[in-house]
Amino acid sequence: MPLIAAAGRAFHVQRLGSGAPVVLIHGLVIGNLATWFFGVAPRLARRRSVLLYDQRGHGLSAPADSGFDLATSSADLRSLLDAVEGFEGSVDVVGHSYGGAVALQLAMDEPDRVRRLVVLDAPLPPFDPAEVAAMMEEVDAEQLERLLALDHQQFSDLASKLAVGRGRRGARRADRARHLREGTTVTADLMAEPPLDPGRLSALDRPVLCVYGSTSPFRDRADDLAAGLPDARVIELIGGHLLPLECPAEVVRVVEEFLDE
Amino acid sequence: MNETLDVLRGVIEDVVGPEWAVDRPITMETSFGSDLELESIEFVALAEKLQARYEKVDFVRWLSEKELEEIIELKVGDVVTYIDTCR
Repeated sequence: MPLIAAAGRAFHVQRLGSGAPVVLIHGLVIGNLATWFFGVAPRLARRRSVLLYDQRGHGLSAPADSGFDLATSSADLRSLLDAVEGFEGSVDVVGHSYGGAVALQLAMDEPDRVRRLVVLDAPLPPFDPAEVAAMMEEVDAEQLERLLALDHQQFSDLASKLAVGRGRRGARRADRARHLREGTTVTADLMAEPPLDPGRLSALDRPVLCVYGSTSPFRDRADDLAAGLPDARVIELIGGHLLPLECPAEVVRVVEEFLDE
Repeated sequence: MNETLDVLRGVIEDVVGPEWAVDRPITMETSFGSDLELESIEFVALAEKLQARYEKVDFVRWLSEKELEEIIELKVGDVVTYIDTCR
């Protein structure tokens, strides 16, 4: 398993393909690099050098008790990019859900490291306590997937099939949920996150593509976000919050069109 | 005895870990989803190990051509057959 030391901790990374560098950032709690690995990443890797990583405390990266705020997550990513050959300069950045907020934060903190930016169905701070509470309560990933996909029949059926695991997988998910709720600052970090600074957003001179799901609970955020950025546009795809899993080919189509401009 | 199946068994046990050793033997009919309950991140680890073991196998690309539903329903035998056709 490829681990890279960055920001004083170990991050699990996967690299696919060759070409212009693009890094993909998964969402918090229910995400890990598997969000991309079977759908979006291999398609993008036909023409690009794709870097995937598990954020701190997620997937196969080192466990973490704290540091789930945007500033720390952005600093983690910057350290990681410094440590990966071919990613030391300006790269394309694609973030899903909370990863989209991390992508924006990185672009504001380190504009020289970001060429173009894709924000996929990201909620933005201040996070709605009810949304966060629901996420923490339903932190069992499969339940959450089913919840978010209720409006999307095909995905919903699929998620129900996934949800049958009550043995090994169920036990591990329960362990992880308990750890996240009781053993980390993830909820507190999310709730303490201040709104993105409108002044910094309006000064962000990088092209931004906002891709949101037609039935996603975060759909309304897209237009507000784009309105606050100097060079942003919105694309709506048919689907819910988990676009990279629901329609990876469509996601790649719009992302590549944007990155190729 | 299928050699590829033996290799795959070893890789699966490696990924799943001894504490979750499956109480049933892994056969060509064993499903990654409903029998082994492999999590997606474990599937990543499995793909990586197979890629390292079989240079000619482009496991990730093979998976990327499938729908999520097909991946979930994959059986051990499907992977064995794919690996054997690559060699």
